[in-house]
Amino acid sequence: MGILLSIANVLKIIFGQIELVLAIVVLIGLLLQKKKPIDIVMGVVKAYIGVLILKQGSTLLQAPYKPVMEMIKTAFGISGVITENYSGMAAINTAIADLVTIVPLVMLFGFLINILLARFGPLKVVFLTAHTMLAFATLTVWMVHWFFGVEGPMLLIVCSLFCGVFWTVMPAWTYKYSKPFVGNGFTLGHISGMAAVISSRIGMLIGRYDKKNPVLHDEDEDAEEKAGKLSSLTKLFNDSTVITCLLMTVVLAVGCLVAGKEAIQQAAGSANWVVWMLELGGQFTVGIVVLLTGVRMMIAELVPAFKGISDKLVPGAVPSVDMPVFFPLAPFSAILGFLGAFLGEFLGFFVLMAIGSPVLMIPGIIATFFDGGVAGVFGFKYGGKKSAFISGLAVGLIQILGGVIFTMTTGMDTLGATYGNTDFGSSMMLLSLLMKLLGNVWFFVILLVAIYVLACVLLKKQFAEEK
Amino acid sequence: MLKVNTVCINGMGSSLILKMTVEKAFKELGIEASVSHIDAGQFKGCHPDVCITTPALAKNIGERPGMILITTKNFTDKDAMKEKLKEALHL
Repeated sequence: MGILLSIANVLKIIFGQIELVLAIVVLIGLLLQKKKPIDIVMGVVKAYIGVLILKQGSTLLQAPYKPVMEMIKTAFGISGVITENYSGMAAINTAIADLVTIVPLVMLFGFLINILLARFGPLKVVFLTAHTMLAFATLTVWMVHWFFGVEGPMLLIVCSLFCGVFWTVMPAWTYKYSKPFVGNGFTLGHISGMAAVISSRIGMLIGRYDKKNPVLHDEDEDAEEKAGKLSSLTKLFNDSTVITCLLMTVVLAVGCLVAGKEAIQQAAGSANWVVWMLELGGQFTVGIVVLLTGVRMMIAELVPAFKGISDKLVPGAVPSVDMPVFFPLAPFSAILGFLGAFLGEFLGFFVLMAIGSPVLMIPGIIATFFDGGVAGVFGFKYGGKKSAFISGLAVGLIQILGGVIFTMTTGMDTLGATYGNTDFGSSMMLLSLLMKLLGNVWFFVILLVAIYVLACVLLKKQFAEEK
Repeated sequence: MLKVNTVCINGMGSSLILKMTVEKAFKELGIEASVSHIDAGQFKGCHPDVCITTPALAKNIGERPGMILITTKNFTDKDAMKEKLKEALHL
């Protein structure tokens, strides 16, 4: 009995440390791939260090924006919320540090559910964008805990099911729209699947898309020339460090200025208030870069393992991958989409100000930039250039105006940061409202199953044609 | 052994997927290569033998003496990648 108890205690301690849990998950993955011992040691150590770097990045990231949010709160009584996934994830990691340790297991089991559903169900997609899986798994832990107050094994099971269903249904839905111009090589696997779906619908509307006689748009030489004219802009957009730093400097400085000089000086302490204010964006970017370095190290070991497992168990499945793989398919439209999304996001921001919303979504740039690109590509393919821009605009507006409802429903506004992608302003927003309405974890499990079954009925057609 | 970099904007998702495709292509061609993925910003400090990326990012990177620059629009098509590698490496 004594030995059993101490084993249980050791396990409890190990599973209380997210870096150890992830190291174990990666170890299993590498063993399954029958890697050489030296590769296993290297992989496990890198994943372990990756999570430790990620933790440091989370702290660094929150330091510059938290004082700004506090200033705004004291000055106007409004909760400012940074709309950016990794900021949201970092905030959750700090807020429920003892619960998020299960996140690597949620990722693993969520992925396995995705594999099982693809193997035995009609929706043959596997989700391979691991940094998104990490961010999303963290969010499910927050949401399920927030709405239903569940902890322990039940939290793990429900979150894994949540992830597994989401990672199967959303890519299957985007596949419906990506297949006509990409084929079955890949589809979009991200928490911005709705950006693709909505943009395609907008494109169809504007371009008067005829289902019986489908015409897809292709960029001509002309567009390439135009893209050449915008090359300095493209260059800027293609370096996320620079664009994050420039825009976040502006966003955070404006945030400071509305609170007034005295408030800034107080927060800055003995430092010069102008310099302090202008360096916030830089500090934020440092946090993002460090955090992403950690994420990159950790997922570099996970993705090949996931890919190996899926190749073996579900050979014909469509891999769902990250957003930028779509940009080369219509590069000029991707830029149009970015521009539209920026405009939409700032319009949304001013709408919130104008109606006096108690929660103010502060544009977080990164999601705008990638989702805008996806919106541009899908909008263009179905409806031409005009719809590339309009789709971007719509996506930007959804991220802010739908996102604010999501943020308030899920209580993320209490954290000072929320998730930014389009799904959170659309599908996840509806889901969060339903979760609030249901109020019971078992009803939520039934809802997840129902969503999966419904998706199977509606979406299985495009997978059936392949055989 | 060839040193190869796959490059995307963030150096996380797409370049990692591309890396796996490229690794498989090299393996089937029987060429030993060490492939690593990286973001466009950090790539400035890298000096690989081969760089594989999208046409848009290739413009940022630019041609460099002694480096073979390959562009692709499809990140998952292993056979197309094999052809591109064959052509670029004069096999």
